[in-house]
Amino acid sequence: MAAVALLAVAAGRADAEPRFAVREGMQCSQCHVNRTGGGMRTPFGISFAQTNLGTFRQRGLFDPHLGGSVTIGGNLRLSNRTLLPTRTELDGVARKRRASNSFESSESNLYLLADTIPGRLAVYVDETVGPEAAFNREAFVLVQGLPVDGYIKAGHFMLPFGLRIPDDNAFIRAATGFNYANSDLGIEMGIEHGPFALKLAVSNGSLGSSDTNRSKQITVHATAVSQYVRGGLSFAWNNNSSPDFKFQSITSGAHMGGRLGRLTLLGELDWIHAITDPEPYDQTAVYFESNFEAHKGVYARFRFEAFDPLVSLANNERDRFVAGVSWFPIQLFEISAYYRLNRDITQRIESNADEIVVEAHAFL
Amino acid sequence: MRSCSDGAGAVRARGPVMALAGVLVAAAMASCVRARLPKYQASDWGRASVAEGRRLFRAACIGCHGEDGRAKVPAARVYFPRPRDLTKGEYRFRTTASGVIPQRDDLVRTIAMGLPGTAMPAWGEQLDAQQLMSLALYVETLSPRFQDEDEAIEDDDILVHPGRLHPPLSSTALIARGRDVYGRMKCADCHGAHGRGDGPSSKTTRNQDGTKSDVFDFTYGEFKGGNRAVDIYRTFMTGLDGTPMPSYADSIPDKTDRWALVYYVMSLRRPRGVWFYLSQRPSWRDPADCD
Repeated sequence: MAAVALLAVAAGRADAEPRFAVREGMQCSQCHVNRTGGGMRTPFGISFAQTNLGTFRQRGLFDPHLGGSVTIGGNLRLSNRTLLPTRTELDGVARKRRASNSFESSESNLYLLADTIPGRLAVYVDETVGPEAAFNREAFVLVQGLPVDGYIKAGHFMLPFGLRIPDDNAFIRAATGFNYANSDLGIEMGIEHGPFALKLAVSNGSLGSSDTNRSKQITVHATAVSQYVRGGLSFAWNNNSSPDFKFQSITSGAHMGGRLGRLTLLGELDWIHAITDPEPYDQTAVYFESNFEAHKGVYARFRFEAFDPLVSLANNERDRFVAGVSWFPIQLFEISAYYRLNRDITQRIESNADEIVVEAHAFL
Repeated sequence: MRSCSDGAGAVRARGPVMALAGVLVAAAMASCVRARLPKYQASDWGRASVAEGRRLFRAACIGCHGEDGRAKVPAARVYFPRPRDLTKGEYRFRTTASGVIPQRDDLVRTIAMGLPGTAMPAWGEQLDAQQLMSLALYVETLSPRFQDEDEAIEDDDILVHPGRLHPPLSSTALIARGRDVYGRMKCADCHGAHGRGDGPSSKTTRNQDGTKSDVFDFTYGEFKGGNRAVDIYRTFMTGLDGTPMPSYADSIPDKTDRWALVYYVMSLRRPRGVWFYLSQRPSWRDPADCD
């Protein structure tokens, strides 16, 4: 159980902020070098972060250019997580879990971009440098400036699926596997023309490790973005079967977002159909988030999540309610605090414990 | 008009609660104070450099204006008004006559104070005077107009000398006189009888580039060129190049009439309620009106 909890914490990396993309009516590529969002920020993204996200902007301008065509970036998150005491009762037997508190460094990433031929060819690396072992999250060659604002990406990258929300623990990211911990090797092609974007990725489907089967994972992601609303559909098919293990998954999802004044809303619904022995099963995951910009750089956030790990079985759903505040006191620095109310089946006492999380986030 | 001078006074209030409130108010005003125009002298231009300006431009500006200043970037499709194509050398907020390139000081002012209500931020909060001047120098290199001798600014082209302006005190009589000027100049044709930007011509006016003109709503009160009386005076004198807003330097020769019109449109600003608060994005309203 402790290992599961540790894994969940370690997977809790966060990066992109689709709430800002929805608020501004922009594609992910407006602010991120990776066209699917997350990681290094574009010149626009870093300017936006330095001018729009600080309540008290401070003197000084971060220049990401190392000189020539090489630019750097990074993300660092430090959090303090308190798991509150919880008590469940099963068949008349009470079970208790005591409170715990821990500091965590959930993200320490450095980005490097070499614009070898500006506007045409770039090499991008996103390296996790801590808190434990260093590993590569993304490393790809990006060919852009193709007809219809097209691009080709080849290498190790995060697959395009759904909203790239900044929480790998969210059910829609954890259940589907499309999160910051699960980059894959392959090739991605896409077009971004006006408000429309279409992305197709062909990858090993083995979560970044070496390929052991003959088939590939196909991921398709389509979005339409306007100033006030956006919508999109995602689909993925992965045959990860081997001679002694049968596993195919079909994952599809729909996401929407919209802005009304200071209020930004995001939502995603995913359905996972797994074909495996002894019988196939279905899962669903729901995500809803609201952000209210109370003042420049101050956001009140509310989130609801639901996950049904086995649709054919009743009364096994998991729910989460998250409420909190995110504040950018100065540019390139965020403090957030939130309360997470977890509800799971009685047998799983760990995932019934509520949490209070305070997080500091520095980025460049 | 907002005032930037009240923040520290509240700290003197009795009681810890009031003191805390004062600290919070002062902190909130801190961002306002930083948006002042940078102070520099003509001789300081010698310390500014195009190379430094180019470096800063790459760090701060290419996201919206593009590497070459043409604003052919995705952000241009999203933001309204669109980021300026700097290669045209056409600027709305100047101290020079209509059709004339702006002075360097005008560029510094726009870069430093930003354009409230648009995506153009107030870089004066983050950059010092020398950096702002370097950026202005580099921006000049993006348009051939600044290198063309025929386009050079002559003394007669400078319509407004901000340092020499001495606005009279506002009064009821002056505002009433301004209302007459507003009617005489047919401002209501575009801006409407009550200054809401809903005059009969507002639906058909176009900018020079063919885009629809966004006729200003005076009741909103956040002027892109600045909210001070001298800022509004400057706009009336120079007009806004590229838009239907003409220069009134010749049409209103009487200085008192000019200031009367300024104070009248300032008086049209209306307090905003809850709906206005809920419907606005605060990030786009940098405090650029501190003096």
